[in-house]
Order: sequence, then structure tokens, then C-alpha cells
Amino acid sequence: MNYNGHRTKIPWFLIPALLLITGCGNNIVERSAADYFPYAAGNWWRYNNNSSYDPQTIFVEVEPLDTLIQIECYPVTYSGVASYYALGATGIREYIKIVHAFAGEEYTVLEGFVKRIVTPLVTGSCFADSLADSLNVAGAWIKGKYEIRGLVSEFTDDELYGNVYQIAFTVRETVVDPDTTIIWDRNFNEVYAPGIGLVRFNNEQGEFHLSEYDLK
Amino acid sequence: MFAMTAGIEAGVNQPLIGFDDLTAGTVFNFQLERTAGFIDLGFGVQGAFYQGKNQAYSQYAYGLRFLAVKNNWLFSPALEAGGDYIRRQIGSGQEIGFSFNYLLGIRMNFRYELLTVYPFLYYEGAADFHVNDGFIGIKIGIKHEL
Repeated sequence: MNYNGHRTKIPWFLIPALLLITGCGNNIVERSAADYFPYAAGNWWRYNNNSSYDPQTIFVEVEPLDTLIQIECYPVTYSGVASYYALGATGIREYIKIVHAFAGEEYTVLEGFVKRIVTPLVTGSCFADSLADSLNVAGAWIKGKYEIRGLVSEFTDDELYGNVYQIAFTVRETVVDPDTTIIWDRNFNEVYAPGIGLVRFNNEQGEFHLSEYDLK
Repeated sequence: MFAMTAGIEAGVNQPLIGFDDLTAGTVFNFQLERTAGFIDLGFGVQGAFYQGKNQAYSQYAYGLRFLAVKNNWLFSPALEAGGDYIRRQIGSGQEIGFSFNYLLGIRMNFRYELLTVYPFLYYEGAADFHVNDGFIGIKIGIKHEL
């Protein structure tokens, strides 16, 4: 009651409106509606490792569509070295090839596409894929295996890029011949932003940050 | 008797701006309307289910709507606003959140005594005060005066 004896009226619609404004703060519409992988021919991104001792730059560019083992894919060059990504409704698949060198010749032990990222990105989703094959080279069986695991960690609200997702990858490549077994393990993280794509990643060379980009 | 109408609507939403990972969704709602001077005001509850292009992905939205509609015209312009609780999931991953939703559309009314049947064509926007995307949709509604 106010001093006149009249009941003070609070606009009833303010209560749900305030709840809604507070609840919308986690930007679920942005994460649901946005494209985190804007792959199109001509798009490019440049990354720096921000190191004053060993400065490095990686230039990533999407080339026009190509076809590998009858699958359409985008060649994506990382400072000139190409990876091949096939985009589909279930995510992005990467072309993998393992070769074995013998007597000056290279033999393809394993070749195919594996899941690289399952889309859309949702906190807590995980995926795994593998390829395995073998080849007889000069009477000796060579076995190759490629395994990849990914986990989408919780999104974070980045000041520059909005709601970004980090994906943690574990990759193991194994080549077995009669005398030796070679195992190559890699762990790396990638951070994707809505409408931009990859904005941060780390690998054996350190951590790289997006410095400039151009999307067609 | 109460100068109110109660109705249900069902239809489909198709992503128009954004939401490229979703296919068409199914939408249901229940609502009550009451004439308030020149227009009719109402309140409703709504549920929507969207299947992802990736079959493992799905998105649910449940919400409340306040609506204003000009019922006594053959073509009724309608305006709705409200909020949705959204749940999106793929495999073991899941996220929840809230969105502000608004709808602009037009109904075509076919009346038979106390019953009205109408197709309803509309645009439904979903915003989180950061981005604003939406769906185009069509529903069939049926309502009865109480």
C-alpha cells in the first residue's frame, strides 16, 4: 500500500519478462542456429602463436571442391599442406592415408574417410572412429590403423567471438610390420566460434590464435 | 458463457533464418482467448520438436505465449510473444536454455456456429538477445467458444 491507501500495482508481465531476459543469457539460440564450420572455397584464416622467441604463422585456406575416392571434399591447406574434409549432415569427415615405404617405393596401406567432428556441437557430446587395413608388401603383411576420439567440452562465452566450443582430440596412428610397431599419438584441442570457424588450436608447435580471416 | 474461446493448433515449422542443422519441426499448442475491446487477447502453451539433419540430434522447445489477434475478421492478423525452454541433445551431449519468441502471422477463419477452424501462416522468431533467427510455419487451428 502506498501513502494514499491505494495498492501499488506491479505490471504482472514484468516477472516473466525479467526471468526470460535472465535465462536468455546463455545464448542457446546462437549456438543452435549458428554455423561453426563455414567451409567454402576461398575462405581463409591466419593464425599466430604469439611467441616472441619463435614466432610462427599458419595460413589456412579452403580450396575449391575436389573428389577423393568418389567422395566430394574440400581441400584445406595448412601453410600449403592439404587436408581433405567432406561435409555432411552428420558432421565433417577427414581423408586419411597411411603409406609404407619399401625399396624406394611408397605403398598405400590404409586409405579412407574418418569422422573428424560430429555436428552440431553440443556440450558433452563425444565421438570416435577408426580405420584399419593391411597390405602385403614383398611377402610381408603391413598393418595400419588410425583411431580418433573427440570430446566437445563446455561452451564458453568468449569476449571476441561469442559462444565458443572447445573440442579435445586424441589421435593414434599405428603401423605394424613383421619387425617393428610404430605408434604415433597426438593430443590437441581446437576452439570453434559461431560464423567464423576455428579460432584457436594447439599442437606440437604450441598454441595458435586467429589473427585475421576472410569469409566469402 | 464465459465469453472465451479455447483452441488447439498443430502444424510444422521450417527453419528460415539460421538453424541449418534442423529439419522441419512439429508444433502443438493450446490456447485461451478472450475479447478485449477491439481485439482478442489470449494465453497459450506450446511445444515443438525438431529433428536434426544428423539423425542423432534433436531439439525440443516448450513455452508460454501471450497473443493478440483480430478474431472477427475473415483474415485475422495475429501477434504472439513469449518464452521457450529449449533442450538440444546429441548422443551423450545435452544443453538447455531459454529463448524469447515472437510470432507474426495471419489466420483465415472458417466459422460454423461456435466453432472456428483456421489455417495459420506465420513467421516465428527466436532470439536470445544476442542473435535473432527464426522459422516459417503453418498450423491448422480449431477453437470453440465457451
